[in-house]
Amino acid sequence: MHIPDGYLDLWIAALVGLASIAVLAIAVRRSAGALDGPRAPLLGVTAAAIFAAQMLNLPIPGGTSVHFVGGAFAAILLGPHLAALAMTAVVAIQALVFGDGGLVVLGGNVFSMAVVEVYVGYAVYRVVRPYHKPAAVFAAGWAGISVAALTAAIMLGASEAFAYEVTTVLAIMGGWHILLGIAEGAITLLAYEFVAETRPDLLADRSPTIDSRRLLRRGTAVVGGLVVLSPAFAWGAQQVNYTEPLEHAAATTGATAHAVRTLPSLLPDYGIAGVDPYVGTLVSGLVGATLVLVIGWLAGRPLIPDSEPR
Amino acid sequence: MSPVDPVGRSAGTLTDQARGLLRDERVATRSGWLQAVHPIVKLLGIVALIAVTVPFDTPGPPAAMLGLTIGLAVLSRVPLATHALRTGVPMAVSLVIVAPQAVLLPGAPLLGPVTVPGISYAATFTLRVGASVSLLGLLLSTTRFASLLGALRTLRVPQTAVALLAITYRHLLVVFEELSRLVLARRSRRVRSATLRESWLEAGSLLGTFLLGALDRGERVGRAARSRGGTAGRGYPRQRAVGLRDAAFAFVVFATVAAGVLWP
Repeated sequence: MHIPDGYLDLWIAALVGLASIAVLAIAVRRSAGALDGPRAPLLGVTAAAIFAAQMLNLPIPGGTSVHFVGGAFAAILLGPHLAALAMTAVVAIQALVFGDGGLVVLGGNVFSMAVVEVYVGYAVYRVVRPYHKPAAVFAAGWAGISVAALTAAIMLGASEAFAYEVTTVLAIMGGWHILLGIAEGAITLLAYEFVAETRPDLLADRSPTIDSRRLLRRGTAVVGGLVVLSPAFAWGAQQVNYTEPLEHAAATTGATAHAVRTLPSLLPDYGIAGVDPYVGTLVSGLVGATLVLVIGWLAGRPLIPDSEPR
Repeated sequence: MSPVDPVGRSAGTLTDQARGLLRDERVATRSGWLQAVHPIVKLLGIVALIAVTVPFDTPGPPAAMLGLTIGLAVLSRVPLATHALRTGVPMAVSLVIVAPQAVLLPGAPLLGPVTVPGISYAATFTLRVGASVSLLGLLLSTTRFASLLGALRTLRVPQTAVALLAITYRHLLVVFEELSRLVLARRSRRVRSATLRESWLEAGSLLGTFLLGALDRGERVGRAARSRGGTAGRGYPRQRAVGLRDAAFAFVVFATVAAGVLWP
C-alpha cells in the first residue's frame, strides 16, 4: 500500500499531506502531556515494535503469506491519537530510512496508513465492542486496512499521473485488500486475545458488554431489514444504471467478451430463472445472508480459544 | 522451515532489514559529494527535483533525471549495484502495473495492439517512478538519519515529531533482534511441520509476546530517560555553515528545476 513518488499528482499529494498534518495536530493536542513525559519513549519503542512486527510473515492457503500491519491493533492498545502518531513514525521511518513509499507523497501514505486505518479501525471497534468483543477486534483490523486501501485507491484513481479509472483501481486494489483484510483482522484478534489474557490491565478500561439476546435481536433486525429492502436496492440500482466496479472494469478493458463461466451458479445474477426479478433478489438476499452468517460463525469459532469472559 | 510455515522466513526478512539499515549508515559516512552537502540543502533540493520530475508526460525529461541521479551516485561513491537494485525493483513493478495501458490507450498503432501513446505513457510513468525512487535513494544513502532529523528540526518540524522519529529509529535494531530471536526460538522448539491453524495460533501468541515485551521495554526506556532528565526539549547539534559543495549542489538543483519548468 506504500505509494512511491511518481504515482500521485502533486496537488493530490499536497492536499492529503495537509489533511494528515491537520489530523496529526489534533492527535498531538488530544494526547497533551502523554508525549512530553515518559510515554514518548513508550510510543517510540512501540512504533519500532509495530514496524518489526510487520516483517512477520503468516501463511495463507495457496502457498503465499501475509503480514501484520497493526494500525487497528495499535489503536485498541494505545488509543487512536497515540496510535496515529506511532503509525506516522512507522510510515515516516519506512520512507526516510528504507525508501518504502515516496518522499513527496509521504503525506498521502501517512493519511491512508496512519490516519484512516487507525481511526476507522478504532471507530469500528468502538461501535461493535458492546455487542461482541472478539468480533469488534476482528472487524477493526479488517475495516481499518480495507478502508485504508480504498483511500489509497481513490488517491491513485483521481491522479492523472496514474492512467487507470477510479473504478478500476477501486475494484482491483479495494477488492484485493478486502480479502487480505480478513487475515489482518484474524492476526489482530489473535494478538488481542494474547494481550487480554496476559496483561488485561492494558485493556482494562475497554470492557463494556451487552447481553447476547439483545445482540441477536438487533442483529436479526438489521440483517432482516436489509434483506427485505434488497428488492428496493435492486430497483434503485436499475434507475441510476449502476454497475459493479469490477464489472465496469471488465467492460472497460474488454475482458467481458472473453469471460467463461466455469461453474453453474445457484442464483445467477441474484435471481431465479422464471421468477419475478425482485422476488428473485429477495430470495437471493435471504439465502446469501444465511450462508454468510453460517460461514462467519463457523470461521470465527476456531479463533476464540475459550468462551470465558475476561 | 516447513512449506506451510513462512513465519520462519520472517527471521530472514528482519535480518535483511537490519543489514540494510547498517549498510546505509556506513555509506552515509563515506567521503563523497552528496555526503558533504548540508542536510537541509540536500533535503530541499531532492524534494524540488522529485516535484519537478512528477508532472512530465513525455519520457525524455524523466530519463534525463534518471541519468543525473546516476551521475550523482557515482560522484557520491554510492555502490551502484545496490542503488540499481533499489531503483530497478520499483521500476519493474511500476512497468508491470502500467503495461496494459500500452494496449488500452487509443492512438496510432506501433506493433499489433500496442499504440504509440500507450507505449509512451508506460515508458514515461516507469522512468518517472525510477527517477523519483533513485533521488530518494540518493538522499537516504548519503545522509545519516541523525543529520536528517537535525535538518527537520532546523526546518521547524515540531520537537515531539522529531523525538518520536529518533526514538523509533534508535530502537529498530533492538526490536529486530528481539523478534528475530523469538522467531528462531519458535523454530528450534518445533519438531514437526506446523499445520495452518497451529501456525496462526502460535504466530498470534508470538506477536503478543513480542508486543508486550516492547511495551515493557518502552516503559523502561521512559523511566531511564526521565532519570537522565527526560527526552523533551533535547535538541540536535547545529549543522555546520553552508559551503562550496552546497552551493554547487544548489546550482545543479536550480538549473535542473529551471530546465524542467521551461521544458516545452
